[in-house]
Amino acid sequence: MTDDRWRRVKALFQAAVERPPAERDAFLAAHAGGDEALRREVESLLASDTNDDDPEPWRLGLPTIETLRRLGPYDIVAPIGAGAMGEVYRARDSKLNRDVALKVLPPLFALDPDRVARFKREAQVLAALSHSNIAAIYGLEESQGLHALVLELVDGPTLADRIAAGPLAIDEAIAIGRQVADALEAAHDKGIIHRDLKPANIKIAPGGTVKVLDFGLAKVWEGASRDQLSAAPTLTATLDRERSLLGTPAYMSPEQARGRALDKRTDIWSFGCVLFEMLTGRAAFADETVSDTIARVLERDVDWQALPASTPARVRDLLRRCFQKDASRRLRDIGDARMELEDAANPMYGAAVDASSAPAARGHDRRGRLWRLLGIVAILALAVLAVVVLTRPTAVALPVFRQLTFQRGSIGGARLAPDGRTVVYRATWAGAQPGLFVIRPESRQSGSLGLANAGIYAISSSGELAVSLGCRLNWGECLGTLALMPITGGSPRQTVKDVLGADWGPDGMMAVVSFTGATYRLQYPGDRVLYEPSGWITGVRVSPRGDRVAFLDHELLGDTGGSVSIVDLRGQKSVLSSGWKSLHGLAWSSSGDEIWFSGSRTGKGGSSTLYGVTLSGRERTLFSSPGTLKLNDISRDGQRVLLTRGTTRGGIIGLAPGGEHERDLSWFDYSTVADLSSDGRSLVFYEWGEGVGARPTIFIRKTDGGDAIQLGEGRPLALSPDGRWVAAVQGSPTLQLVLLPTGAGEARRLPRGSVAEYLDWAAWSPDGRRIVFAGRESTDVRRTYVQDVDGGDPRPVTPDGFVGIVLSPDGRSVVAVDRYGEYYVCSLGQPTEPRPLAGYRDGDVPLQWSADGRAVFVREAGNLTLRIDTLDLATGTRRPWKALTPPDPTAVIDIGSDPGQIRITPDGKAYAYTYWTFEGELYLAEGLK
Amino acid sequence: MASPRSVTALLTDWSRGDSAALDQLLPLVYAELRRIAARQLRGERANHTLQPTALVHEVYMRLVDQREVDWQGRAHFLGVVARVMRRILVDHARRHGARKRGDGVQCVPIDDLTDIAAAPDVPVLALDLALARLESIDPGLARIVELRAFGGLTIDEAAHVLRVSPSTAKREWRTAKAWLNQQLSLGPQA
Repeated sequence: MTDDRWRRVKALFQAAVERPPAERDAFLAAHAGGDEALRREVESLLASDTNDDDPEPWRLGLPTIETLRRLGPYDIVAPIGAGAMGEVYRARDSKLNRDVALKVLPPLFALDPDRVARFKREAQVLAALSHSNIAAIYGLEESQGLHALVLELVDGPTLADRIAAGPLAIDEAIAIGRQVADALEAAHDKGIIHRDLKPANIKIAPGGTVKVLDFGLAKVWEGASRDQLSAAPTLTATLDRERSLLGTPAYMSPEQARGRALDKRTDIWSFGCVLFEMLTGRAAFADETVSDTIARVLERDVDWQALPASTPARVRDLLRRCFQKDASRRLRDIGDARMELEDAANPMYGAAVDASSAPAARGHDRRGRLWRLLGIVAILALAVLAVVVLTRPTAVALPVFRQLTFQRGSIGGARLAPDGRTVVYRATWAGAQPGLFVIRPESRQSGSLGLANAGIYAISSSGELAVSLGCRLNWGECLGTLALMPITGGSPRQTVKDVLGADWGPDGMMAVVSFTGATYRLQYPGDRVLYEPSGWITGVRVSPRGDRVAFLDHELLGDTGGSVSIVDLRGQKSVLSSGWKSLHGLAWSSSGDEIWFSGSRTGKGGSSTLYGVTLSGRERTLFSSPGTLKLNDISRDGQRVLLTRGTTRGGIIGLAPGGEHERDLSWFDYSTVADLSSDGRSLVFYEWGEGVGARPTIFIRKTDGGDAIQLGEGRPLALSPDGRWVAAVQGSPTLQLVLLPTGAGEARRLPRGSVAEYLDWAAWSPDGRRIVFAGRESTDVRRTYVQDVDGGDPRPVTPDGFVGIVLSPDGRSVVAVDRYGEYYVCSLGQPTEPRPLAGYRDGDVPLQWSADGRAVFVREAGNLTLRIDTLDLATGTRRPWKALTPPDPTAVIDIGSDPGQIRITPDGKAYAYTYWTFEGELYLAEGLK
Repeated sequence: MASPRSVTALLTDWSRGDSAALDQLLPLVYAELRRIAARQLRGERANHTLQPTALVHEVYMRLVDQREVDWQGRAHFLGVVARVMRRILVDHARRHGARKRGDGVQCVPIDDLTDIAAAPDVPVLALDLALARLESIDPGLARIVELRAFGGLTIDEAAHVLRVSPSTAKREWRTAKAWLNQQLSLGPQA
C-alpha cells in the first residue's frame, strides 16, 4: 500500500530527473495519471534535487526537537522513546513546574491545517477524561511548526516489562486487572474506547498505581491517516513503523482484525488478552507471523492449560467471557469484569480452584512452603545472632571474618542469597575448568552448581539466580548470556545475550548491562535505557528503593579505572567519586544512603581498601587490609559483607645464558623486570608492592640466582653497557632522570632541559656516553631525545609524535611508535622520513633489536602465553622465536601486556619477563560499619 | 586485540554470506574505531571534531590485512564501518550538543563524497533522524546514504556492497539526497 505509493513516487522522480528541467512538467503531467497528490509529491522531490556534480551544502530549515530543546513552556529534558505517532520526550513544564511527556508529532502532520484542527478537537475530548488510572492528556502544544501532545508523565515499568520477567502472581495480576478495568469503565462511560489496549500501554507507577496510556489515540490517529496520510510517505511510513513496533496484532479483537466497526467490546477482548498474559506470561494469541496471529484471533481458542493451576475459577470464567469471538456474546460491560476481579480478590469468593489441577497446585505450594521454611530458619538464625550480640559485653566492635573458600585458585564474582548467608560464586580452581559454586549456611563445603564456565550476576529476593552462561572474561568480568535458574538447581532459562552485568531491583525488575555490538548499555527497568557509557561499566546495582542504579563507570575500554556513579530513573547521571586508578566492586549499604566500593586511587595492581560514599559524594574509608580486597555483596540487613581477599603477585621468570631451565627470579611481591645486561647475566628490576611499602624501589641481581642488591628509589629504565649505572626516573609524574651506581659512587641527576615528563623508555648508546630516551615536552609534544651523560640538555632526535621504544645495536636508529600505534624506524638526528616497520601486525610490540641489526624481536598480541617472533627489517619476514608460559599457569591474570616487562638479550640467549597472578578466597565479614 | 588476520578472515566469511561473521566483526571494528575516535577527541586534533572519512580509512588500514583483501572486500568492510561510524557520530553529537547547545558536530570534508556529513548546515542528529525515517520507507536508499555519508564509500564501492550496478547506485543516491533535502528543509524556516 504505502510501499507501492513510494515506489511510484520514486520511479517517477528517477525518470523525471533524467530529463531537462524544462521537460519535467510535461513528463509528470503525462505520467502521473491524473493523480494530483502523486504529482505534487514528485515535484517537491524534484525541487529538492541537487545535481551530483555540484555539491551544494544542504539547507536546514525544519527545527527538530533536538535543535529546539524547548517547545512553548516546555523544556526538553531527555528522550523517553518512540511511541504511537512519534518520539516521546520527557519535558519540564516551566509554568506549572512539573514534568510531562511530550509526544512530538511527525513534521508532515503540521502541513495539513484540517488534520491539525481535527486532531485538536479530538485531543480536547480526550483531555476531558480524568481518572486516576488513566494517564491524562493535558493538551496540544505548537511552536515553530512542531506539534506535540502534552501528556501526563508516568514513571515506572510498563506491564509488558513486568511480564517479560515472568508471569505475575495471581493476586498481583488481579489487582492490576481491577485498575485497568476501572480505567476502561470510566472511559466507556464517556463514550471513549481505547482501541489499542496492550501491556505496553499500561504503566505501573511507583507505589503500584496502574496508569493506562494512549487512550483513544489510536482512533484519532487512524481517522487522520486513512484518507489523507497516504499522500505523504513520511507519515505513513512512521505509521507503518509503529505497526511493526507493535509487532503483532495479538491484542486485536476479531472484529478489529476484520476491519469492522468497533465499540467498547473490542476493549473487553483486549482486556482479556492483558489479563491472560499477566497470568501466563505469554500473549494469548501471539504467533510467529502477523497472518498466523490474525488466524489465531479469528479461529483458535486460547491455551487454557497455560493458566496457573491456582487461577480462581471466577477469573477463568471471566476470561472465557472476554474471549468470545462473537462480540454479541462477549461480556457487555467492563464494569462486570471489575466486579468479578474484586470478588476473586476476596478470599471468601475467590478460593475455588479447578479440582483437575489440584495436584500441580500442591507441588507449587510445596515449593512455597520450602521457602517459608527457609525464611523461618533465617529468622531463627537472626534471633540466635541477636541474642548472641545482645548478651555479649559491649566492646569495640571489630569486624569478624569467616573464610569461605580454601582451594588454590581465583574467585570471579560472588553474590549473597536473600537469606544473607548462602553464597553463589564463580571460581577457577587449580587444574580445573571455571564453574559456578554454592556454599549453603548449613555446610562449610562448596557444592558445584553444575554449570561449566558460568558466572553469577545476581540473586533475586525469591532466590532465583541470574547467571552468565558461556562466560567470556571481558577484562575480568563475565560477558555471557543472561539466564535465570532456581538456586536449588535446575536448567537455566536463557534470556538476553551479551550481558556484562545484571541486578534485580526491589520490584522484581532487572537492571541489565548489555553489549549491543557497538556500545554497552544500562537498561532499567525493563528495556528503558538509562545510560550508555563511552567506555564500559561494571558493578551495576539497583538501590534498595529501586529509584537509582549505581555502577562503576570505566571511561576507557579495557581499563578498570574511572568513577563511582549513579543514575536515576530519568537517566540523570551523577558522579559520586572520581579519579580512581582501579575500581573492582560495588554494593549499596542496606539503608540505601551509602554506596560501598573497593578500589585504589594510586595503583592498578591491588585495591586493598573498602570505601563508602554518600549520595552527596561524602567519602569515608571503611576498612583496609593487606593484599587485594574486592567487595562482592552486602546482605539486605547490612549485617554481612561478602569480600574476596586475595594476593596480586608479580613474579619474574628468567633464563640465564647457557642455562637449560628457566629460573624463578622473583624477589618480593611485585617483581617487575626493567632491563637485562647484554650478556644476560645481570637483571635490573623493581618492586612497587607491599614488600617496599608501595614506593618503587630498584634492585639488581644475577640471573643465575644470588641475592638482589637494592640500588635506590625510582623506576629503572636501562643498565649501562659496562653494567656500572642504571638510568632511572623518579617522581610521579616522572620528572627526574637519574643515574644510580650499581657499585660504589654517587647518584647523578641529569638536567631536564625542555622535557616536561619522562616516558617509560631509555637506552644507552653502545659507547655508554649518551642516553636515548622518550619524553614529553610541555606543549604535549612527544618524541625521542638524546642526552650526554657528562652534561648538557637533552636534544630532540625524532620528529614530534615519534616515541622511541627500541635502540639499534649501533645506537643510530630507533624503532619508534607514532600516536596511532604504528611502528617506524627512525634514523636518529637525521632529516630522513621515519620508515614504517615492515611486516608487523596489529598487536605486535617490538621488544629488542637483534645483535646483527637485521631483525627485531616482537611480542605478538595474545593472552596468557607470550609469543615472541623475530621480524626481518628488510623483508618483513617473521619467524617464531619462543612461546613462553609461566611454570604454574593457575591464576595468571596478565603476562607481558606491558612490553617493558619483557627483556631479551640481543643474541637471544637469555631473557626475563614478569607475569602477574591473582589468587584469592571468599570471606564473609560481620560487623563492618 | 583484534589481529588483521582474524578481521580479514571474518570479513571474507561475511562477504561470502556468513552473517554470523558480521556479529563477530562489529565489536572488533567498534572497539578500534572508538579507540581512534577517542584519541582524536583527546585533543590531538584541533577543535574537538571528528573526521569521519579519515577515521574510517584509518580503521581499515589498522584492522585489515590489505594483501588478502581486494577492493570489493574493502567496500564490504567500509560498509560495516559506516554503520558503526553513524552510531559514533550520533553519540558524539549528543554529548557535544549537551555541552554546546544544538550545533551538532563540525565535520571536515575529506573526499568529494562527504557533502552530507561535511556540510556544517546539516547536524548529524537531524540527518540521523531523517535517515531513520527513510529506513522505514526505503531501506535501500537509507543504506546508500549511510555508506556514502558515514562510511565514505565511493559510488562504485557502495554499488558493490548493495549488489546493484553503479548506475543504479548513482540514481539511488541522487534520489536519497533529494528526499533528505526535502525532509531537512521542510516546514517554516526557523
